[in-house]
Amino acid sequence: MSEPHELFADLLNVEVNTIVKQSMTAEKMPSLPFALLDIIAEFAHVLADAGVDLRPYLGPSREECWARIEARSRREDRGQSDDAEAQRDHIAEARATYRAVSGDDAPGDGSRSGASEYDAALFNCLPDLWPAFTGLHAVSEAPADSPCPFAMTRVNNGWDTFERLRIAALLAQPHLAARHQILIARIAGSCSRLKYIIQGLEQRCRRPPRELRAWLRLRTERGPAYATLGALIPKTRNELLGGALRHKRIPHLLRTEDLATVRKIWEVGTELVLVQTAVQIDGDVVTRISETLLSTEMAEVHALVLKAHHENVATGLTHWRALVEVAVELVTKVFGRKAL
Amino acid sequence: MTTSTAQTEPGLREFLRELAGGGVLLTEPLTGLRGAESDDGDQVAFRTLIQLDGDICLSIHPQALKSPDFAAAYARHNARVHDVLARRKATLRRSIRGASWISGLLGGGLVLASGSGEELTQMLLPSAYADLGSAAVALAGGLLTSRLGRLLTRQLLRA
Repeated sequence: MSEPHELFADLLNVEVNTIVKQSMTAEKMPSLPFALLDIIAEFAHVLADAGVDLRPYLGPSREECWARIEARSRREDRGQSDDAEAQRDHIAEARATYRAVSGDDAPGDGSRSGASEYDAALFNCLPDLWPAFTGLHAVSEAPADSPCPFAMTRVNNGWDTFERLRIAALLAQPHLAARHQILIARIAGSCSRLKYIIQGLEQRCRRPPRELRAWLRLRTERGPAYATLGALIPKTRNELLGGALRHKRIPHLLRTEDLATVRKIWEVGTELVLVQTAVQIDGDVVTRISETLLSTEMAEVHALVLKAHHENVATGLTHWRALVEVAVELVTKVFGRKAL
Repeated sequence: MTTSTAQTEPGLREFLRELAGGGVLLTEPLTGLRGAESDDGDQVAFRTLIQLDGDICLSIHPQALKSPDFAAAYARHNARVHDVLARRKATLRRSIRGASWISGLLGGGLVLASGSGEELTQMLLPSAYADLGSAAVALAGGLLTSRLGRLLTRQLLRA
């Protein structure tokens, strides 16, 4: 569960979005592993509908991606390029991150003379997967004219799936029509944030448990055991549904601020945001209105949507003010510190 | 995260859990709106997600926009949103006051205990060391009060 200070994180700005969404139910966001798969499915279908063939990106396994990146890392001409990005050694960066995260030296002797040594924990420390899909392993960047087939069967909810979608979206973006650009940019941005969050989660598995906290939890927990992170991520939908997970509890895996990010991305998905208002604590107010709302098709309803959004902003500001007041009260009354 | 329909005030645990779990979700069924027809009875006209950081996402069903009842239905939904937020804010403030009272009572108890501790040190220690002992007991009592108060509040919020 979260630390108290996280409960009131990100109070410096408030964002109000109004969207029109087809086929909307009162469905709650499922637990994190399933929510991630929902997001992946929605993003992937939008990309596939835009003509992006995702099979070359989602097809290679983690081991294959590692082997591609390691092969590039071994190439001696890598460092001769003027491009700083081309000079990067992803394997060395992964090893340094592994050491920083776990406190141990990374597996393998690091000589790069032997066979490829894949280690799941080291893979989780890679800065990105670009070398696996560019250069020697470049895939066709130009999208097809018609939607491409896509199936979620083998797609898992690991950080690398978001990275693969991000790379696919960014490589296809220059070739796509203007009507796709906003969504593609949103998919790339959301994938980037989710990759960061899930990769952090997978990396944290390497940290030794804090003994006192673990002891306290052992004393207070009742009921079925919690599923481990490894049993939840990276997993396909079938793996999640088919295992012994139904007899286990899903733990709260994310920090509050990260969960809020996942929640927002799941909620908005790839729907068109008609109006968005962002209010910052310094008084700046930015309202963005979609061109779609101003089109003749929406002429009859745009006044209704704007009025609803306006009322929603008022609600948001009232709620925001209340949260700030509560945060101040919490600081002054309970923690005994003077508020600024 | 929860779909809120209950009119009773939530407890602090429930409130924090729903907010920390992603947000409070309020929905309004589509079936009540004239001209808004859907084969699926589970469809909703409005879906408002309120997150802990104050962010709000309002989703509107396109069928609801076509209904002549849109304005009235949205006003009703918005009033419910305000009502739910007011209830949750009241719960949170009441809980914070409760936590501060508990901290205060805990502190009072420790002050009394430290008073007894002082008497005990004066009885047991030679007079030359009694003042030093009393100061040490007062310091330990203050430190313990502070630590216990914070621990209690953290546990209350984390529960």
